Amino acid sequence: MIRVPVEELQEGQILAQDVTRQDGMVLMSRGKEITPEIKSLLLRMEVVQVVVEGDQFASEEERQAFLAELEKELSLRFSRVEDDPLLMGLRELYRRRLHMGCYPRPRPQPPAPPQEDPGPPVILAKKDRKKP
Amino acid sequence: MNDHRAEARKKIQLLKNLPTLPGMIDQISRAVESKRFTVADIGKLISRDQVLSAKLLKLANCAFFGFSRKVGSLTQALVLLGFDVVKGLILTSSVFDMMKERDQGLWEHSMGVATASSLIAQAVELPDIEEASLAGLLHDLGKVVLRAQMTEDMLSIAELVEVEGFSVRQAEREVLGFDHSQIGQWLAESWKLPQELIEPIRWHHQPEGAHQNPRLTAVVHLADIMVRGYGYGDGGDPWVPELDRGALQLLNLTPQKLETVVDGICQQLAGAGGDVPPI
Repeated sequence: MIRVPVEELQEGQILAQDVTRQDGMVLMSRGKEITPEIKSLLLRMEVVQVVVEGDQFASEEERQAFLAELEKELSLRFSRVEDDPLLMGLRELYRRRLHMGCYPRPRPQPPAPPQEDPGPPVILAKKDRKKP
Repeated sequence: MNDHRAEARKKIQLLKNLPTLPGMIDQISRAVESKRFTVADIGKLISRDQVLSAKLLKLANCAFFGFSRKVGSLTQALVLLGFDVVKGLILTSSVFDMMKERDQGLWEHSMGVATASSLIAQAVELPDIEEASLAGLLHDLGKVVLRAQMTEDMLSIAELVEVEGFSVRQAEREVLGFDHSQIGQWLAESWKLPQELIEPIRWHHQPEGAHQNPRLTAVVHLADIMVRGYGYGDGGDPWVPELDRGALQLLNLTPQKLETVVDGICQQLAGAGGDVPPI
């Protein structure tokens, strides 16, 4: 799943999460395919960003490289408790989840366009975000 | 370096510069104790400070409190969370404000431990989930104050971690003669936090020391380890600390429940670096 600014949505992408307003109202349900009409509807509703299916990586190599980096960091964190089988079990749980896409930190974005605010977990309409 | 006189001197130096409790907390405590004020009155009292009100609402809406609807007003926050938790949130926000340069890593670590504490507390059916979140949020109080007040000592501590490979706690003991959990206790006591919250702050690395609230302390102990293991935020060094078996037994956390907590951590913290409200 990746979070994408509405302006950058591509035709054919699939919404992976409901688009909701901060008060919980669902504006659009997950599973919907992005068409030019849907995109302009989202823009009219002043939705800033949505979560679509897919990946934040351009290629499989890129994903593997990021995973290898995260696995190395994971091993370092647990390197002083290797004699504790329980903590080794926890490390394994985290390792498996890394491969399921549960990354503790976002991938450093190389030439990312300037983003003012990554935004809260819910997808907000612009109106909501402008509140102090 | 470790003789008692040096230790005592550091302690006095620290306590002399002890940040005072924000006046707001005193006012709220007195208002609550007098029983002559309604929740709405106290909401009004807090809302005089707009910056604080905004921060409080942001915190109340954090995932670890788990309300399905948005908490829209201070009155609502007071009703849902109770006076003690709201007081704790004011305290948290004031304490993190003391740092001249905002330490986002430590803030994220604290938010992460609050989230994990809430998840563990739910899994082991602790009666007060909000209290667990708050204890997690405050557990490293001592580190925050150390970074804010004793910048020179912090440099020596960071150097020991970086160059000698000391854990942050070892380095704190080497430089100061005591560690952040002890500092946290002094502060929490001087601010008259409830004993239930002092224990997880003091004993989150040695949970066997807790007597009044050993289960809550065990929750924060495990939450700290899980968040460090996951790699979220920055506690001052990269290493997962030792897990206390007694604490684990006390919680009676089955492997299934542990997996539920891990899944919760993944859902609520994964790649969430940008989702944590800056304080």
